[in-house]
Amino acid sequence: MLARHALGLSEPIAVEEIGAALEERRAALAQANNDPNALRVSTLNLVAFCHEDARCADTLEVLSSMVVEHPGRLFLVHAHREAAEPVLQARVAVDGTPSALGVPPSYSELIDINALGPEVDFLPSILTSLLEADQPACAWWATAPTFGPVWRRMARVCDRMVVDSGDMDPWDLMRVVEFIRADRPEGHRDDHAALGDLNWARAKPFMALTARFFEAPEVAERFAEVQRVTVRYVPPSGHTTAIGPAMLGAWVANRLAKTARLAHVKVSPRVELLKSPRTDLHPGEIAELVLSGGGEAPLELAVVRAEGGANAVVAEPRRGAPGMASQRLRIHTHDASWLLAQELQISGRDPLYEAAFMGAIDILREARR
Amino acid sequence: MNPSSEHPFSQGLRTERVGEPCAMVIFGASGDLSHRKLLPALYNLSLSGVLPANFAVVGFAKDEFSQESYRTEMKKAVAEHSRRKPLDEEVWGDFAAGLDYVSGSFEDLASFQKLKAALERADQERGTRGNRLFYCAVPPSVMPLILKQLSAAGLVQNRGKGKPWSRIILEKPFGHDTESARELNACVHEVFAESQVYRIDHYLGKETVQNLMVFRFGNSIFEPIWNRQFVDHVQITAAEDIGVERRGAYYEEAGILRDMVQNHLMQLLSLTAMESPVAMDADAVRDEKVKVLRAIRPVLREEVQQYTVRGQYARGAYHGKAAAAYREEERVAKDSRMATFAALKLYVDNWRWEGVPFYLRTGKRLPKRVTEISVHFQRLPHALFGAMQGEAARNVLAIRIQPDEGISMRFNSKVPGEGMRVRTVNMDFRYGQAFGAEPPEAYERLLLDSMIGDATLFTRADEVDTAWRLVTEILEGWKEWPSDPSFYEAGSWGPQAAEDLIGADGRHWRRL
Repeated sequence: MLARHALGLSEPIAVEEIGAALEERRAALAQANNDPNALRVSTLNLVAFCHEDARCADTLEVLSSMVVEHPGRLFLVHAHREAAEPVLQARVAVDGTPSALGVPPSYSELIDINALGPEVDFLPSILTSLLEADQPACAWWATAPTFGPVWRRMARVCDRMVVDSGDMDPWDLMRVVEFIRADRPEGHRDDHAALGDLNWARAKPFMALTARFFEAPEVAERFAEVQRVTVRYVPPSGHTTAIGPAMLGAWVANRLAKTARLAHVKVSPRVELLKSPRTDLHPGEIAELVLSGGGEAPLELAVVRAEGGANAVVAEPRRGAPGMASQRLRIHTHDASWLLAQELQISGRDPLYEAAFMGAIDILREARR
Repeated sequence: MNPSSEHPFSQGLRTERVGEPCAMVIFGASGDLSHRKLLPALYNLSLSGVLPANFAVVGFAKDEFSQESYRTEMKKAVAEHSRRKPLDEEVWGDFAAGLDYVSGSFEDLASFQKLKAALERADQERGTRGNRLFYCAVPPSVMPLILKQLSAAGLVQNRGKGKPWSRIILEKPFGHDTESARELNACVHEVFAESQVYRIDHYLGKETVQNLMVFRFGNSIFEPIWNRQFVDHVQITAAEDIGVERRGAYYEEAGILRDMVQNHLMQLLSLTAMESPVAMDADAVRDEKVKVLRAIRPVLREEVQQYTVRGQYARGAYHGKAAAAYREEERVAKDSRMATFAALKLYVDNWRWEGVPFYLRTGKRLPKRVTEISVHFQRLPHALFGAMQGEAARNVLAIRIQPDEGISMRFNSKVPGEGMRVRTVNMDFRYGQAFGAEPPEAYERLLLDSMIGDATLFTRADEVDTAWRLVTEILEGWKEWPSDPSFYEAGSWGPQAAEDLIGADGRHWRRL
């Protein structure tokens, strides 16, 4: 049986020693676990950037939990260009997941790189040289991205750039808009990565249950009667925005419009964002999505965060869907590794996300007026 | 395959498919299969969030349970047998709210009326919309009676397509020879259209079996060499290390051909040899599988000694402990001639596989539990690197179905050093290592498919019939075989005759 973190992070080494240090630790781990035939598996390159020391421990924890389902070569990069003393060093670890019933052990590698001062400029070339060949590469900005040279270089070498728009101020959101608008052919992996967003993954349980409403014929045929899309959310803290609730509202509007196009009818639902007084949720969290409308036969479909801090969302067909039962779906949206895993399942651009993000920007602008 | 996935609200949202609202009836609800497989599988589907919201299970069996005591019993079963532990109380609570039980007898029409009332209740309280999924976890002898009662009680609606739908899942064995399978098919078709019938073969629910299609038809490099021009022969092994355990009485009736060959091995063979389907839908895939089964050259009863080996385990050892002979097992005749091992050499007479032998072997009390398909490529036309003899000269592609699912490729490599020495090495893909997550149980996949209405991984009547025709001929031949089966020591790889079968062609079984 293998133990997790059987060989933790090494002492700091120079970056040119990374390859040899990994080799040494792989051999030692195989020997320690009496598993000389175990194979190193690489299915993914995941590069996590963390610019806040206080959040690095959490980021490392996320990477460690990722390796079970996403074995591969993982990087944790701390970079501070403003630091006075130039530093460029690394630590490495080889991580074995325990063998479980039906699941053989797997190995992953973690490379922790610390770059301070002007040495930050070397990061893109170091990372490019260390990426496992011919495996998907994903860069995750665990803290708000700087959108500087490192971002631009990584966007060229990675398949996917994952950010968290819930952590961003309005200026950063505009940078994301620029990134999405960059001229790229649909689905084509050219010199520009696709964009992923943990905040989009957070809204997915709401979307999943909303979709189930429309899988029922009696609801599906009334889609054009939806006049209002209301998203209630707990106000976000600091300088961040309600981009998450706005994306959810924009997604509903976008899907209704798509359904209407297929049916050759017109819909024009109003999307409204309202603040929720709920105290059992964190700032920025979505409390409720309500689709309502209908004339003499009112229609009201809600997806609600379960009360009392339960990690679940509940679909409540309140009016107009008498044959439909409510449904509860467990959520893991507080778990960054779960959110990240959702994004890693997508290959290439996610047009639904991009459309929802752009729609959300419009909704936020409208709300500000 | 899931029509609902076409809806704009579902597009791009999830990879998981969600079952359609329905009530599932389990006949034999207090039995071992329900405890160990069915209820744990349903609970795991619920845990994964892919069970429909409007879902109910109604257990039906002779045992006396109240709704509450059945829920308690099944909670224990799920807690013990679920692949994901510990039990999630909230998810179980939601799931159990739709769990009902009807105590009754298959002979008694009134019991089926009670079942009907329970289903109507489920429609009202759980919103299951009149959709019915019947699961027959009962011996095949009871199936005709259940079918008759379902019909008499008016429980089957909309024969064929349309809503609300009724579907039936049938467990193997589906008949015990061609004639009985046809009789059973006829019985089923009196009540259900073929499109409503889901014959379960849990091998098809295994990830690696499904991956076999992805491997072959989702990669461009294998299909060009997947034919008689490049393949020397194919071996399919399904070995079990256990004996017949407490199933002696069943095994005396079934034997290895009915238990393993007619279903699992024939399925593996047809998936290995089939042409690319025109689409990944149920009929397109099954059409191609049936074509393979039809192309298998029948082993005539007078040819069984030439093309087949039947074996029976004698005393031996099993994981370091003494193991009894088959004839010493409980409820097995002391002079039984029932086969617990079979090896077959088959040919698929079509353009792709003409002249390529498919060697199949399966048995009880073999050294280990392993199921594998190996494709052995032809030898090099010219031995450029010296004395590369026999099997070492071949490339072998092995697809491991269980355990340790994966694919390995054997190829030749230069041994480092000054000389030109060549040795075989393996390039290995291990499913669990590459993807980490524990794969779902076969029953989870198959139950979900049946709720969605996707029959791709279920066997069709003509598949069953064609496989039975092949196997029944061998069974008849074996019946006329005057001698005892070839005995093999428990814990060995079968009788010498199996080695001789393949050895006569200058080949040998792959060491597993």
